Amino acid sequence: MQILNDISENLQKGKAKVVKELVQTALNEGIAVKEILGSLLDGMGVIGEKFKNNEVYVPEVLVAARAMNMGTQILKPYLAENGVEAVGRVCIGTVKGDLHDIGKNLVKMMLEGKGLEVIDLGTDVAPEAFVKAAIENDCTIICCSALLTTTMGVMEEVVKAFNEAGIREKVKIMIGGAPITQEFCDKIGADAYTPDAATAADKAVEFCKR
Amino acid sequence: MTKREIVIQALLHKETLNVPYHAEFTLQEYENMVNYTKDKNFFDEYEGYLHYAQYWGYPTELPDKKEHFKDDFGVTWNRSGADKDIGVVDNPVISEPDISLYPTPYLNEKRIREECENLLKTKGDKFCFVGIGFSMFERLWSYLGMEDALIYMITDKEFVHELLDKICEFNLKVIDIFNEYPFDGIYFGDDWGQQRGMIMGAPLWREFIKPRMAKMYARAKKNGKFVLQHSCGDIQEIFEDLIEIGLDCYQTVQPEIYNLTEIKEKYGDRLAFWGTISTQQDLTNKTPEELKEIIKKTVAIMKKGGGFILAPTHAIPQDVPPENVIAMLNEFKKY
Ligand code: B12
Repeated sequence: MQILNDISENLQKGKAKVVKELVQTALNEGIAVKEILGSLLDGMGVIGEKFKNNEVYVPEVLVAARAMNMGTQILKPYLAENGVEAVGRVCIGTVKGDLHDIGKNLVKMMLEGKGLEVIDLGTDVAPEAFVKAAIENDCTIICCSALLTTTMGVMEEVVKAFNEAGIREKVKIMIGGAPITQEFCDKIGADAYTPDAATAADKAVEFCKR
Repeated sequence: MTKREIVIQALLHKETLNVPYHAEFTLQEYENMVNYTKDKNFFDEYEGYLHYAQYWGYPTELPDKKEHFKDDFGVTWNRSGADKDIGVVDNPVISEPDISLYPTPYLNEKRIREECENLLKTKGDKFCFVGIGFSMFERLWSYLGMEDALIYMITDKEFVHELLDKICEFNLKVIDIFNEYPFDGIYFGDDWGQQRGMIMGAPLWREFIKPRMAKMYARAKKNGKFVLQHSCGDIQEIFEDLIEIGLDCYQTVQPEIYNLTEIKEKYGDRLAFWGTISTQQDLTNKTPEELKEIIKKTVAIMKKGGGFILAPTHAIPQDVPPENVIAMLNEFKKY
């Protein structure tokens, strides 16, 4: 359908206002909510892929995500009644002591771009706070971000805290940020590491499907 | 040759007998070192070749708000959380893409001059320079918040150009003051890189940042000063641009990001490199013996034809074992 194409295209260009109008028009025309949402996610998927391949950069992702949000805001009231459910629920934050949040925010946007519901715990999040949020929100996944060698060790404490709370089996722990490596991920017993936000979202979807 | 002369030779791409080096510590790591060596002056015997300070707009603690520091640009930094050095922007001063919201910064000429004089008085025989921290992109995002700064680069281009012009104009005034003193160089801090590639990407950097850096470099060079640029992360894409606008020396050079052999070969005869010893991977994770080996290999690659200042890629953070610091400094002194 042309209008769905247009939504995707305009989202990729970050044209937030146009996306908002087109989504409203599509709704008025009686197009299924699920399909409209699909066009938004499709656009965000294209941007994610381009970002992964260094064809676009952080600013392009931010404007696209903003356009997506404008679109989903309009759809929100109709999602539940149309039986559209989130693919899964994720809690995300930067670990205690770390204030670098650009990467974390990008991961959040990419997760939302794959239809996941994301609860943003912000920056400087203590291990216990991750546990509490995961329980309260019944999350499938938590995402921890660290950009400093002095804070990446906190991720190990996060894994321990989930063990101690007895919910380690229920929650997948994903980690990332500049100093993180697969080796480190294996060492602390987290479930997944990815070097970029788009791959993180793919991995998260995989976890939710299982 | 004095340390100053050695650095100058290096910046002119002439190989010297000794490789110049430099090291800095975070406050916490410095304390660790003092405890470990039981010597408050442990660093005296390792003093490097560089002597410098940066202008930041003097963040000053607010009398009515503990751990909140306001700078001369009107930006308040919250240092009550994890970061006590810089902090996070408390509340963006410019909340909309509207240039009339620009708060005219206060140029504290008296204090700038005092600090310039102080710096020169204490330089010894080192290469002495002065810098502007947060010199362009970072100043922009300190006004707007990081996300809006990046978004406006696409959605409100004219506004971003206007704001950057104002930032540049102010910096040129500061550079004019610096130029009155016999410094050897001027240093610009501005983080553009991430672990892979640039935060804003090279095209937007060329559109917004490059023309202003060119102006500032030219002003500094007018007085025959060397120009040094700090950026964390991966900015290889713009090395040619930086050389074109007159940069002499690039600082940080994270080895986990760059292929040192490749950048030395491609750019090493035109751009000097300052850094290369990893605070992110090696200083924290390796043994003293391994570190010595790494430093030896790095020097072998970078030393050829000058253009090299050996140093950690950042202030040494508190998670680096003191044994490693001592091993590194002893190794630095060998070359
Ligand atoms: C911008 C920046 C800052 C800004 C941050 C602004 C903000 N709001 O975030 C400011 C100036 C505030 C800052 C402060 C500091 N910084 Co800083 N900073 C950077 C810089 C240049 C870029 C980071 C960035 O934003 N990248 C862009 C984003 C998009 O990339 P990213 O975060 O890596 O995220 C991507 C992936 O990693 C991944 N990802 C991220 N999170 C997650 C999570 C999951 C679950 C997954 C799967 C994936 C994933 O997806 C993202 C997108 O693809 C880096 C350089 C570098 N090499 O990274 C230094 C760097 C991280 N900083 C460093 C330092 C030392 C500091 C300070 C300590 C400096 C100081 N005070 O003196 C403070 C610490 C503050 C604190 N307590 O957190 C060092 C750390 C060295 C070390 N030992 O680890 C670095 C590496 C620079 C260097 N020269 O070494 N910094």
